[in-house]
Amino acid sequence: MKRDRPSLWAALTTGVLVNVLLRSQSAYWPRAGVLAALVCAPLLAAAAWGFARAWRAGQSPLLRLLFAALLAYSAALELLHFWALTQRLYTGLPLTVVCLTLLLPGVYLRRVSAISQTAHVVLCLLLLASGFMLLTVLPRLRITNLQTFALQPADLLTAAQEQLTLYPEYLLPALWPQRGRQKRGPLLRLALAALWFDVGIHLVLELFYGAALPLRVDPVHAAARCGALSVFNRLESLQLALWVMALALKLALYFYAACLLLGQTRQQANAVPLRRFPLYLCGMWALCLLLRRADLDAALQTRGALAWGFAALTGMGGAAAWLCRKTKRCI
Amino acid sequence: MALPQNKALYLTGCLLMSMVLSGCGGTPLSEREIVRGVLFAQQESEFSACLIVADQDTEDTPRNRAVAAAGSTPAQALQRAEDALPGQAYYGLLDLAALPAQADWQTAQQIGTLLYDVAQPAPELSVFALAEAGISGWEEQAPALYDAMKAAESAYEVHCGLQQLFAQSEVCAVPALAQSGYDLLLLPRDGAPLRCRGLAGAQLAAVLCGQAYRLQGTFAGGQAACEADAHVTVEGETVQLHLRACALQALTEQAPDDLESALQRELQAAFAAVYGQMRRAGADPFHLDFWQACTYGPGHTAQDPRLTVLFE
Repeated sequence: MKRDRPSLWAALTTGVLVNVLLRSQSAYWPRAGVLAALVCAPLLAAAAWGFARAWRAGQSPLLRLLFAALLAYSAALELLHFWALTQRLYTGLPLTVVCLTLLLPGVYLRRVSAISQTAHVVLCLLLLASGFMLLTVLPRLRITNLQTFALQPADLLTAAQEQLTLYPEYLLPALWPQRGRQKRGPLLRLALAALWFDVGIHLVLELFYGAALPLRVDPVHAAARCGALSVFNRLESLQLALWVMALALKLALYFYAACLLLGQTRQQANAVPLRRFPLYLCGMWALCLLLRRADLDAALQTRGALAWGFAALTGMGGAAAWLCRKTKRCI
Repeated sequence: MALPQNKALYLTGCLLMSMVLSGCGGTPLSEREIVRGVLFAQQESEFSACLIVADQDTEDTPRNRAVAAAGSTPAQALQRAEDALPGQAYYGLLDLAALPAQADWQTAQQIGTLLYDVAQPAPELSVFALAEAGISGWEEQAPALYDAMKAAESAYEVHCGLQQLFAQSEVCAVPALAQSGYDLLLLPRDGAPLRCRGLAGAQLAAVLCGQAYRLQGTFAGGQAACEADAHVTVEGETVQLHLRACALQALTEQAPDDLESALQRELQAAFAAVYGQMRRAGADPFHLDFWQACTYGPGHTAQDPRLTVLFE
């Protein structure tokens, strides 16, 4: 039996995990990451919790429009990021093909129940495939590849700066109402899962690459290329297929959230109407064409800054609304 | 009975997808030049690159042929060799890369980066260096060199992956082809390359670098032979070489009576010599500083490590 409001936490978790796997370059040394994660996970969870409270207290049409714009910008960057990866691996793959590959599954994933069910499957497969990759590269992991230099404050700062990236997945839970039986601290769990998975992958990469860790492009994919198990010696294709599924899911979730923001009626809250897809496909394709020449690293940093700015703006709005209510009661 | 229209469309779609996924429309295998090895040689400032290509015309036994070209840089030489191929180079099955015999750290890094960019590392790609004897003709020698390197890797169980060229920032170690067994090239960034030879030199260094787990060869001037599984542990300043299933055999009457002591002395002398030279070059290919840092914290380095051989 399908539930009216299925849980989307698996989709959110898949979204933040695939960010880690698709990194074009490693971000920090794992030792610094471990220390930074102890602080950054609660900070991220607190920011997401504060945003959700403020959003429910004082959302406005302008904020809804800004949030939808942020999601559209993020979706375009995800598409371009994956296109850049495919360009490095298979030169000449057109942007249109990447857009269609990642956006067309949204037709099936337009129902929130489909997103939820698929997310659970993809999350399990993603974790299994990551474990399988670890198994296949195990003989190439060397403990002596770990770097022993003393950590500097700059290393910790770099790790903290990277881990404090506020992905839209942290903001999306504010959009759907809290369900009755919910696990405790879901936002903290989400942040912990994302950051510890990130640190774990960085640790595996350091054991694999040693001092060359900061130099390798697409480090996870390159490590997967080197993994072979018996006759299975092209495991990077398995990883790539799963990343495509996870990205398609992530984009479908963004689209569903954007539709919720842009005035979807209560009856339509469980599915995106099919008639909106042509506009969505054309809009995303046009946005990608517009941004294709942009510096992707700078654009991703800008997205992080915009997300924090938007969260701060919403926080101010929520605080103002709360103050107004308090003032009215006093009067 | 005709299929309903939607089912027919569904089947057509599946058929189309299966044809695309099975490779229909791609380059036929016969038109691809399957590169199995890339060999580089250096003559003063000139480089030459040789592609070992699987000969698909021979039906009975798999054979390789060589296509070579020269250039002022490894990249130029490799590009010219690719251009000389009649078909399109396919690196998906590349399993061996060879550096020039006289390669230094900079050359090794340059060629390693080039392979990352051009060929991309295929699974199980291993790196060797060529023997010191010069190459007179690639076409005749290269397929035999490829076979010899693969045989040495298999017989002596030594393996250096492409990523290991970059795993340490100040040094890299590469096994090299030799007349007997293999040599090991230690290439410090800030020093002269060192070619270790023989069981006590090359094989001990390979075990200490983590590239081999077996000693197999002669010692005491060729008067005795040794076969053993080797593992290394480090305790403080003591490097312990554990030799398991060790079989020592005198080959001549002049062989020392106590073969264990003779082997131990030879290994200790070789270790002291190699370690001293690497330390002077500011390199630590045996990761001894790593274990010191693990025990005493960052910044601590090994001062005067000694090798102890334990026969188990």
